[in-house]
Amino acid sequence: MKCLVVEDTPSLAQHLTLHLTQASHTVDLATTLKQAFQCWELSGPQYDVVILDISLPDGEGSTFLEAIRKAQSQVSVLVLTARSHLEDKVHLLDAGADDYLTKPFELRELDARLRVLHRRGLGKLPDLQSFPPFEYDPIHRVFWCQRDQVLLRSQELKLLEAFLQTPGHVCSKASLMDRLYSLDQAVTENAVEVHMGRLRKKLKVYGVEFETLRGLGYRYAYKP
Amino acid sequence: MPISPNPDTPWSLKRRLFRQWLFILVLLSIGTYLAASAIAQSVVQKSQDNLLQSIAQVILDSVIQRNQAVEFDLPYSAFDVLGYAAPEQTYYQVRVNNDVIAGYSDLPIPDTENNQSRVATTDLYLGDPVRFIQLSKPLNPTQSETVFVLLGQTRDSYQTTIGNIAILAASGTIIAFAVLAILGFTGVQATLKPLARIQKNLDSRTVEDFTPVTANAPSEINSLITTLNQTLEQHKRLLEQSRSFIAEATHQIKTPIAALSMESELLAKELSGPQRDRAHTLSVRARYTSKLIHQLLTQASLTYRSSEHIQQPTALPALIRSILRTLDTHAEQKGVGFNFVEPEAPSLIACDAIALREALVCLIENAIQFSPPLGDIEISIHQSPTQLDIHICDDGPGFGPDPERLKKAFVTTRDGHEGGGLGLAIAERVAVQHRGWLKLLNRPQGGGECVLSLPV
Repeated sequence: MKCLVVEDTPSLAQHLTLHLTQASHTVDLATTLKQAFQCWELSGPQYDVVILDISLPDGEGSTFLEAIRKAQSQVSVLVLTARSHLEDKVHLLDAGADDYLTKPFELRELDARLRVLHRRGLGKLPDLQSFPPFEYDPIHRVFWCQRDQVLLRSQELKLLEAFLQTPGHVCSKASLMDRLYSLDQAVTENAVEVHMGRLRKKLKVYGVEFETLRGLGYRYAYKP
Repeated sequence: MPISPNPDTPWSLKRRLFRQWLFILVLLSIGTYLAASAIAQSVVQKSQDNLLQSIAQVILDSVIQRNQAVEFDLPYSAFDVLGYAAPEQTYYQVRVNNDVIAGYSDLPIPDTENNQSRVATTDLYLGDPVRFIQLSKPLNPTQSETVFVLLGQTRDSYQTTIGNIAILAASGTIIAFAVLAILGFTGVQATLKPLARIQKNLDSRTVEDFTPVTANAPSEINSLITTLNQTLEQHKRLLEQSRSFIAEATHQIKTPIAALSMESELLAKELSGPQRDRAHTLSVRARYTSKLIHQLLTQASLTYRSSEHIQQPTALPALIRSILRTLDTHAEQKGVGFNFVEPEAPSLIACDAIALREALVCLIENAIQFSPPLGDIEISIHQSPTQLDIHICDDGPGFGPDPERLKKAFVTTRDGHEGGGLGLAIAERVAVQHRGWLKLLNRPQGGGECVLSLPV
């Protein structure tokens, strides 16, 4: 992902840039509102996500947010805020932010939110892999149902991918467990059952069922 | 020194004016009645006296002495005139010196001083007040004998006329005063109307509406409006200053904490063994400090909001869906799932949506924190005609033997968690602000259940 990080606190900006770069993202850093507008003018359409601090030395980050939304940009914006006014969060979402994170935050939460935002911001590509009633985008690892993305957590996504990629769409618990966890993680089959249960609930509205096959595992079945 | 209405002795300008005017009206009416009565009495009596005198004079003129004998011819037509003037009883007496020669012999004889030829008096005769006029003249040139004509008439119809005149005068005064009072009340009403409009305007304002009050008011009230607008402006400035200070202070405190937390996280990645754990603990402590600051500021904000009695129609399912979307990433990291049982009815409620959102965030974050890995949090809404209950159930350890204690600020059951110890206190405060309550229950099958109840 190409990220624009707008953050004025040097240490925070430095650590954010380091972390995102280590995670293989391309990062442009702006430490003032003015620099943020300059970066946007130079390569606005190329950004996948903007990480925006609200309090900047030369103004409010919300000014930048409102400006890019006014320019019809659909880029995903994650707002970083240290403020605690109850109204601020609602105001930020109303102003066009896709999500917000209150400082301080865990880096893995930042990563998770960026992943979700990136997925949500994706457009549907042509010629996707058909998996009725869904279509699968293997590049971005996203399932579509007609024009809408199917919003899944990462474990649920891994499970659905497993059924898509298995002939006959039948998966054993052991194979699903391998999909979900690495060898050094101590988990039980119960974990697979929990995630399968959640996936079942989410996909029921699409007419999808997961039949339990005694001794074999689960079978994906679409019943329109 | 602040000026505020005294709750023990509230007084109404209209009531006070009404009381004063009523008192004046009563005094004025009595005064008018008495004055009119006195004037009418005098006028009517004078008129009666004149009439009686003229008739008595006719009778007196008819009395003559001829050949040592007294002759007189009673003029009956004159009595008719008296009858036309008023339907009263008439009495007369003609006497020479003390000898009654005609008329009623028992009429009370008025006292005459200094040989007055005319005496007017009111006396009782046959139980009724009677007005008497006595005229006299010498019967002969030697003045050895004097003839007296005493003519009397009852006064009932005259008294009725006097009463009517007095009542009429008093009624006129009452009507005139009532018209003036109505005009006065209308004037007061017109003066108070702009004040009522100003009050309505201020009542309908939102928390942050400090726009100047404008009202088409009389010049006497304009100075009050000017002062009110100056006060509003001062409040606006103070609030802005206070907010900007809090925002700046929060930013200044939390941003270095964020940097510290992030640095220790990055450090933890590079370290191993016990040093890695210590770096991680540093990061957790930093976030704990920040959360505590956030919760303290949230409490302060709630105090400010509670005085504003904010009520806006809110679709509860949409609000909960929005909160779950926000917290989903956090829950996913712990492998905790949400199960929101949406109600069939729309579940609209009038509330302070921002405060309620904060309360629900506190409760759901609390549930996430205490849920075991792969645990499920179930959120449901139950609505009755009078009450709306939001249930948040988790698979965690529950609230222990004394759940009520956990609602107190800074009381927590656990160690090593990131909570600030204010989440449940905030949630209860929001519930109470909405005249509801928060219940913390231990579920029989294990786990905790928070019930946030709000009156509909």
